[in-house]
Order: sequence, then C-alpha cells, then structure tokens
Amino acid sequence: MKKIIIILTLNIVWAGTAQAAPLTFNTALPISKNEYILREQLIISNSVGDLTETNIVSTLVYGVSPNFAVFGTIPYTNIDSKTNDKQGIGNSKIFGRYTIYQNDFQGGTFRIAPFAGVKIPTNQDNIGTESWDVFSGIVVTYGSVDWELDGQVSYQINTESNQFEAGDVARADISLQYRILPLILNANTDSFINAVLEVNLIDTGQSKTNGISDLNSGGTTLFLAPGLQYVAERYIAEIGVQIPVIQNLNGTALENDYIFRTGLRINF
Amino acid sequence: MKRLLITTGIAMLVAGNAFAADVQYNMRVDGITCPFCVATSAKALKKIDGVKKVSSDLENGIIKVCADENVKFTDEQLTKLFVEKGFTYRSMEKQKQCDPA
Repeated sequence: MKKIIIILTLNIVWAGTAQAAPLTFNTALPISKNEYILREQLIISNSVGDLTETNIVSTLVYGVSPNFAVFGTIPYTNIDSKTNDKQGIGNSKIFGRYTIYQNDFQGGTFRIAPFAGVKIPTNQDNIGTESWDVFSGIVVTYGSVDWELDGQVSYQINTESNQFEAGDVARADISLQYRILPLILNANTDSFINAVLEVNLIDTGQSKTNGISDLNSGGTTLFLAPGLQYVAERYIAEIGVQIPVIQNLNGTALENDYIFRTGLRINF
Repeated sequence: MKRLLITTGIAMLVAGNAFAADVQYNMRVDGITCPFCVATSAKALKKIDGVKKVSSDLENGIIKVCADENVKFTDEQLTKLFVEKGFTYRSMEKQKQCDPA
C-alpha cells in the first residue's frame, strides 16, 4: 500500500509538464495554434532502501488555439523492490490549459493560465490505482530573455475504486530559470543554457481501504530541484534532480531519497 | 517586329523579377523570450514564397525576415500570424539590405 502511495505522488510530480520552462511542472507560455510539442522524460525515483521506480514518460501537447492547449501524457513504468518487481504502462492524464491573461512586452511576457484534467486508469499490472480522478490548478509565468519565473498551485481529487481510495494531493511549485550562457545576447544567438532551481511542496492525504484510513500513508514533502536546460530553436534538453529537504510523512510511510530526471522536448 | 518587341519586354520583366534584390523586414514582436519561442513563427514565415532567411534579435524582440523585394507584408497579415503563434505583433521596418549571414 505504501508503494501505491509513492507511485501516486510521483504521478502528480511528473504529469502536467510538457512545454518549455520548468522541469517538474507546467508553464503558462503558449503552444502555437495547430502546433505540436513532444516531450520524452526519464525519471528515476529511489525510496529509502526499498523501492526504485523508473518511468519513461511521453507527453504530447497540441495547440488548439493560441490560448488553449491540450496535453496528453502516458508513462511506461518499471518498479523494482525487495518484494515485488513489475513493469508496464501506467496511468494516463489528459488536461486542457487556457490562458486567461496575457501581457506581452518587448523581450518578455506575463501570463496566467488555469488548467483542469482527468487521470485515466490505463495501467497494467496494478501500476497505480484503478480510479478515474480529476485535478485542477493555475500556473503563472513571468518570462524575459534573461530569466523566467513560474509558479503553480494544483489539487487532485482521488476517488475510490476496488475498495481503495488514495489520498487527495495538493501541491505548490515555483521554478526559476536563469540564463547563464551566453552572457550577452547578439544577433547570432540561437541557443541558451539555463540554470534551473525549483521548489515543490507536495501534501498527500491518507489513503483509505474499505473506508478505513491508512495511518502509514500520506504526508508532506518539500523538494528542492536544481537542474540545467539547453534551449535551442527546435528542442530543449534538460537534466535535474529533486532532493527532499523536508519529509513529514505519516507513520511508517516510505521516505524518498531522490528523483532524477532528464528529458527532451521537441517542437515540430 | 511587334511580336519580337512584346516577347523581349516580357523576358525583361521576368528577368527583372528573377534578379530582384533582397530586402529585410524587421518585425517588432512582443512576448518572445527564448529561441524555442521563435521556432513556430520562423517556420510560418519561411513558408511564404520569397522568404529566404528568418533570424531573431531576442534582446530587442525583433524577428528579421530576409526576402525578395517583391514580397510584401501587411500589418493585418502579421498581426494574425503572430497571434496564432501566441505572441503580439507591434510594428515593422523595411531595411534595404539583409544583414550579412
């Protein structure tokens, strides 16, 4: 049961990220009309001495209009633990994001975009839960050619399926990306290297089995996530690690050691 | 003789177009912050007949389009193009020669 909760938490961590900007969550920057972005991520999570989970996460984003984009994400998961190894397709997510405020200025932009979606139980071999869950949130982005700041809050309501109900998940995220190369832009600048620092606060409620709360599930984790991005015209390559700096978990719920992540975003 | 003159005239017109000089349009576009942001706009501009090169000056929010002098852009056309890409077109200046590569 503890492992299921860990997987659910990870699912929240890597879903919803498909476009330029933060490593671990979304941005309010635009997806052009009728354009696609594909994002492929490798995410390896290690929990205290007992569980290593490897995810290959594919995300496709489509710009329906300049303001509205649809995101679809599906993971392939391998779980390696002392007691149980399994692999297969995990749960998918589909959601929409709509830009409600946009203020563009010379060399920068400020945007606000709420989003909402559904988690679909596409998993094989009990990788994740069998429930259909809903989530919603809002992301704010201030971007300039020198640096970008993104902030997001979100909430996922988890429902019951097969007598099991995972705890709801609330999270708040902040990401700063700062251009470290080139130091000075010129007419030939066609790529950036950004240093990235992110903070993820994730609070997971206790899960329930047959209506009874599992006292060894849920809790609050604060991650600090440094990373690097190489930003070119057609792709973004990135690498980072989420380090738990505070883990206030209930009972004997498994603590996380780290989450390593690397990925590529391609603009078709 | 009349037919020869007409044929020669048409040939000169065609030749004139074929050797049209290049000009550069400097488009001020707000909201672009990184090379990745420029890509879809550049792709759309390159699809226009006569456009030879698209580059960007991110610091000043300028997209530079080198094209045949026969290519004409309008503010309405560019406003629509950049809105669909998610950005805000402000203005355009024509430069007699393209920047060196």
